[in-house]
Amino acid sequence: MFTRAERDYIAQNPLGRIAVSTPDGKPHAVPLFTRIEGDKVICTGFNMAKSYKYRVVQKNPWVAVVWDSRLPTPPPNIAGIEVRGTAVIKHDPGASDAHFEVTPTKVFSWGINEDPATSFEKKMGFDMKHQRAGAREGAPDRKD
Amino acid sequence: MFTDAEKAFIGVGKAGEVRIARMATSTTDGQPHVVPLRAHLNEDGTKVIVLGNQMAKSYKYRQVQKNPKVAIVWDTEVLGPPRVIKGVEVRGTAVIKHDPGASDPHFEVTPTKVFSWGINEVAAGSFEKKMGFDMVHHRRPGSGNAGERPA
Repeated sequence: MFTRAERDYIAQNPLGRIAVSTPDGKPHAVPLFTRIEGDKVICTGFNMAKSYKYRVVQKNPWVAVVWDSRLPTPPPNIAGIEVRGTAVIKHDPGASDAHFEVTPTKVFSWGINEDPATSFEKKMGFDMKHQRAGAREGAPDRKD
Repeated sequence: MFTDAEKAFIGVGKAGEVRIARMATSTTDGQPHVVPLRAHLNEDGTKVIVLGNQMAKSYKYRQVQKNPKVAIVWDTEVLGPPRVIKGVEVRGTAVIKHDPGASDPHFEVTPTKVFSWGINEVAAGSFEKKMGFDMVHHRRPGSGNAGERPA
């Protein structure tokens, strides 16, 4: 579901933003910390069990999570990943707080998987190679 | 609707255009979508102006036509320890606007609810105390934070 580059990106940018929605379509958005485990997104929160998102997810499990960062070029240049999927509430024994385990149904990303030598930089009109943190070895390995 | 500290954090008028926010939309049956974009308050600080690149071709644009309810969040991570996030969330109703001469349409969001955490408290000096540390030294320069204490 996730490519190697997308996994690296989320590991380096663990602060994501989650959107939840009431069943009749009123959304809510909030920042939280995340990590990828296998093909699931784990979302942890402060006082999760008391939060609005927690109560909404109990009524409607559909969520979307986005990670993004600004590229060091004139706006609007943002790289990011969006996941849409369904959340399940988990509470590990011994853990002080509950968390969401999100099973992705769709993954979108922009500016993450593109080869440094090719499309994205050309499209945006600059060379991103020198701005990237860490190596991006290997080809994308998404298996959808 | 917005306190002075919240206005300063989000940015009013052109000053706020560079701040990145995340906006959530939803289908009418509750499947959300969230995306980063630029958003700031209008000149009189009552509505949120949401700007996008190629807005008219985007999923959020089509979504807002079907369901105008949106939520927008601005936040910043305070580099602790402990790691703390402060921010403002607006929930409201979006209208699509297209200024004559502008290349892209934008959304104008009328807030129905505003929530914030760590913004007004910083202005009042109580957030650091509650969190048990002094946040002034952790602030990122130029992040537009409200409540900067005089030296």
